[in-house]
Amino acid sequence: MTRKVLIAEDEESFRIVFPQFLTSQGFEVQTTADGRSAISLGESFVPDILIVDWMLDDLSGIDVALALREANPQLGLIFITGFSKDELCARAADRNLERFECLEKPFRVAKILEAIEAVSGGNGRAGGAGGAE
Amino acid sequence: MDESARGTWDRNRLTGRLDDPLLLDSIVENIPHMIFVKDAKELRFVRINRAGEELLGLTREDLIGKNDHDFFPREQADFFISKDREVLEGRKLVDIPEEPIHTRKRGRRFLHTKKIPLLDADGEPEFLLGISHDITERKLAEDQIRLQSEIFRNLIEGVVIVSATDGTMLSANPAFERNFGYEPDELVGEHVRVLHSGTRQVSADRAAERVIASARSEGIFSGEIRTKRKDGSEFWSWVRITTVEREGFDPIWVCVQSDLTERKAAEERVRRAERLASIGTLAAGLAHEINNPVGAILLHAETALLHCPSNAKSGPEERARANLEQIIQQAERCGRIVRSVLKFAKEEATERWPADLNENVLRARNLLRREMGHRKLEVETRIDDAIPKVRFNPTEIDQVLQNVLRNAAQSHGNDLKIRISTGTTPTTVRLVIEDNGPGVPEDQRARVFDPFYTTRQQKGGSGLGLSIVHGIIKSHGGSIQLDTSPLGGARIVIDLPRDDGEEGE
Repeated sequence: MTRKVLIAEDEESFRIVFPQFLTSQGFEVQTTADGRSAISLGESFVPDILIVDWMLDDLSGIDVALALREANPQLGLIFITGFSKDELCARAADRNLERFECLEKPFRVAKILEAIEAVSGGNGRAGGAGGAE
Repeated sequence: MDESARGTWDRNRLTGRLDDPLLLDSIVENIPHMIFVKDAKELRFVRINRAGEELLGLTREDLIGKNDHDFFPREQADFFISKDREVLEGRKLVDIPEEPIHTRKRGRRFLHTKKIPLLDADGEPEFLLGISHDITERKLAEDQIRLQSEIFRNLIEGVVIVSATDGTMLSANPAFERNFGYEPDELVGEHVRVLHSGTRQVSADRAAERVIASARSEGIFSGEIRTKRKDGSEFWSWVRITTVEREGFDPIWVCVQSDLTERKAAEERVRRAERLASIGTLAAGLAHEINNPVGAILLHAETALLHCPSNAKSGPEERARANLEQIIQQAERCGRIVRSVLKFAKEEATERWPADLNENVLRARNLLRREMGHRKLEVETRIDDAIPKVRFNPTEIDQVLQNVLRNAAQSHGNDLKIRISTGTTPTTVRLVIEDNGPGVPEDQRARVFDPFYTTRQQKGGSGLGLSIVHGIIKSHGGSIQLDTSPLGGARIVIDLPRDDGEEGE
């Protein structure tokens, strides 16, 4: 089964490159530029993994994550941020948000795959790259 | 006697007229001291002069034939009469250096009185002569001096009196001696120069001369100066010098001094704490701005690399691959630099160099917009591109801008307008920040730059922001003022001195 990744990121460049890379790794990818459309797209697309920028123009990445987790408690969660990871973790803890990975920009593609593995709860990499399922 | 008469008298005529009862009478009447005569038996007044009438507030008609019990409170009359008896019984002069007396019109007065027995041919007292000098004014002046000297001795501020003619110290109070580490009276006769330490830029003598020149030309000086204790240690003093002109004497300078060591240390602690916090914020903002594009570059390059066959040993693919690997390495390097900047941002950085204030303004505006998030906020910038570079520490000026802008942004609920402008005056580069908030009432304006003064206690204002802003601007040799904006709220005007040839490097 192809795993689905939803990307919410206000930087256009990331919205271009993430799908290129992740589809090449066998994921099915959708992108949005803001938090509200991420939440509404989440309802129809039903991602396995959410990759979300901490600070979107309209909402915080934490808000988006909490909304989608409510619909799908198993949702794998990866934050990306240009700020410090520590700060983000502190904010997430304030909101009782658990089980997530965090990538500080700039990061290598290998880190994305590691993070996806980590949040997939031992299900390993999805899709074409010799996935476990 | 009138003036012209006095000049024409010669010794013989004077001697010749001394017996003249009219002359004696005239002397008694016109002498400025009270003269009275009482009979020795009943101590009734038999004679009183004009000065006596004026002092007691009674006419001679009221007085003659009466005794002290008729005019004075019982206790006072008893005192006078007992003194009178003492004189008459002892048959010799009694000097009363100070006695209070209740007068009709002038309240309580103090007299210095001499009482003299006048004896008859048999050597028995016949009359009592009294001569009283009103010493009330002198006594009040003495009291005043005593009071002032007590204040002088007990002031927390140091006070030194300096000859305005030659700059030597005439006296200093204990606080002054203590502040400078001298023994009592040790400074007397020393030139004020010994108290100056100067700064890195200005020698001690030069600093002393500047203060003296200002006191000479303006009559007054007030400001912070670098001072030196007896043991050579240096400290900051706040000093106010006032010239006191004295009729018939050389003018003096009264210098009030307080030791700013504690205050400076407290200011510095506050400044450091706040600086560290806000450099962190600024660096984080900057890091975010850089990390985003660098992050994108890195991912693009890596993804592009996936399309290059890894087994290419030569040709365009191999060169593209090498280039992409370089891009990846350099992007990663950028990331490391930004992280190290974030780390070192916590270290102190107070160097100053010629910089463009407009850059700070734009940076601060962007940060403000980010901080304010979804709140409705209109920020207008009126940038004068022609402003010259001035010497400042951009990090500190960022902090100034952030503090002032944060104040402006928190002053108002919604529909907030903030205008930031830059420009020049003949001697400064000027930065003006205005808002349409409620402004600051006139009676509070002087205090907003005081440490720990806040109008936003409930909203978590520390009261330190503007005092730090003030400290930074002052340390740059600039000035900051608060008044009203045409937008309706507060207006902060900051002037930074133009470099124009001063000092150079």
